[in-house]
Amino acid sequence: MKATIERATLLRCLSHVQSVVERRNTIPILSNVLIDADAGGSLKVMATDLDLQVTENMAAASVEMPGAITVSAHLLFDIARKLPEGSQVSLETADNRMAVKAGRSRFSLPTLPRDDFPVIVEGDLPTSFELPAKTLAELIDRTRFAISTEETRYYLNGIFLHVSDEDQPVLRAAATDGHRLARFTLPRPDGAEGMPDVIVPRKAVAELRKLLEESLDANVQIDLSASKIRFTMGGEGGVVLTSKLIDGTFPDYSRVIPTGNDKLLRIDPRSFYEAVDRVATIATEKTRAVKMSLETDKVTLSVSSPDNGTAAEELAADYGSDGFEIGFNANYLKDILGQIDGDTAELHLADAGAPTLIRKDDKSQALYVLMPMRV
Amino acid sequence: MARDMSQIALPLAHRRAADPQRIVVGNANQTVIEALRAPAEWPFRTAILTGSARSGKSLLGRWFALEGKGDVVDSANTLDETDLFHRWNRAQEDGRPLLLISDAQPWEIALPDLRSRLGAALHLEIAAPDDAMVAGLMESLAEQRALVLGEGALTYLAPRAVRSFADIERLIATIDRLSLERKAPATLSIWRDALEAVQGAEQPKLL
Repeated sequence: MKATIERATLLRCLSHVQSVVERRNTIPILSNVLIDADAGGSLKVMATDLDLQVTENMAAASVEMPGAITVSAHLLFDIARKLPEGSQVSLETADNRMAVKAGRSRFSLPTLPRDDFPVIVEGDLPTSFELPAKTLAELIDRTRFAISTEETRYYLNGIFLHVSDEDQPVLRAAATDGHRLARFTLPRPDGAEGMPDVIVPRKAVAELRKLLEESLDANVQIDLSASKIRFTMGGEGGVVLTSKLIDGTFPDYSRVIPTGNDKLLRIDPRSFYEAVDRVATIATEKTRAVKMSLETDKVTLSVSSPDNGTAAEELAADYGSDGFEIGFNANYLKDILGQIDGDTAELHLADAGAPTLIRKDDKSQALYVLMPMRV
Repeated sequence: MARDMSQIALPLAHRRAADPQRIVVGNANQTVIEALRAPAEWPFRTAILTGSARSGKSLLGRWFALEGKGDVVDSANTLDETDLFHRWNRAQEDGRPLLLISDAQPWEIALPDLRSRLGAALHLEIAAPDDAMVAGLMESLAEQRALVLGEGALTYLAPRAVRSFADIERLIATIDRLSLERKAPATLSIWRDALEAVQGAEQPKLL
């Protein structure tokens, strides 16, 4: 293989795929990217961790000799990063090495043969639909913070996607760590009917979100089966992310979304967020507990810590039900309030031990459920 | 200082069939299951099944009915005795085996005719589970909850748990809840705290 490519193009492409590659690998080839130059003048770059793979095409300045090879993803990325701006990078393979040349720099990198590079077998992906990249990005932003990181509950380690027939057909995304739950709803896109329920793993979500950032004005093509999902993004050359799905069953989360909470608190999410943040300065690292006292049109936040003293703050709010006290993890409350733009947030409460529903209003696509702390 | 506030977990549950995938067979129910397989041998083709709460009486009853071995009357002790007597008579006329499940033990029957008929029936009782069966039950309950119990859980828990069906179910539910509340895998500290929550501390604490 011999090809020449602009440094900026190479760097952008490697920055997309290299984060898929784990820093430590027991299988050496998983540290590598596959570079495949075709006679038509384009280069395909692919990275994988066996569960997730990203493929991107980039235009080469020239392809002198088609061929494919694999080299260390992080080495090549670091080299491309440090090469002078505007330089042309030549990649050439010979004798199990790949020579990287740009300006007066010369590198010779060890390689592994392309035939050893593992590729995820996608199989048949019978469900296909399109979503605007912006919508998909919002779906991820509104839910990913609630994804669990506790690995024995592997079925919570991702975003659950499913279709449902409510008043009208919808596509729903949900994530929970057992303490809070986030749900995002959108009208079911054409082609998503009959879609199997799937759980997209956390790492795939993070990589996808990063890739979306660069093609927010385009559409994303989504193809999936019960075991694999593929996202095809536009942009230059196109980026394809294929991921295995989590092989597990997501809990029946709709049962924990309260429907009969009769105490309604309306409050400005921004000033509420800031007040929670201020009083939580006192909270211990371990519990992050903040107590909320509700009275008519008033909320009093308080924190007390054996080591750090106490803090309290009063906030004006719209509240007309019986007064009571409830405790929340300040970070969880902030995570959710940070998601709500606009002047009001609705908190639907029942009692100090019951799930609380938080949303912007009854028309919002995003809905959050937060479990309190024992006061 | 008051005790620390602690996080409550969302009551997440998997959508699942009412019945488990399999029936755990062990010392407590083996003889019962053998008897249920051969209703032809029951005196007057009638049997009465008793056992403690959550011991699987209804589950065995549904299995018996599903196998087409005969008819089942669950919670028979709560039915009107005259109706039950008619039910017994009808089964005798049809020549159908009849399994009566009683939640009460002993089952006090006031109607003399019914008392004498049922006195002659085969009495089956689900006993207390031994350690092996306790371990089997824990495994099956954890599986139903998609709960990973952790290595060595059964060898630690089975000998320490009270050998009661209802308590074992509560114990596994508590382990599941604590692990979710603490966002931590179910390991020794959680098993220990769950045992303490369900059946009290093993030894009184010094302080």
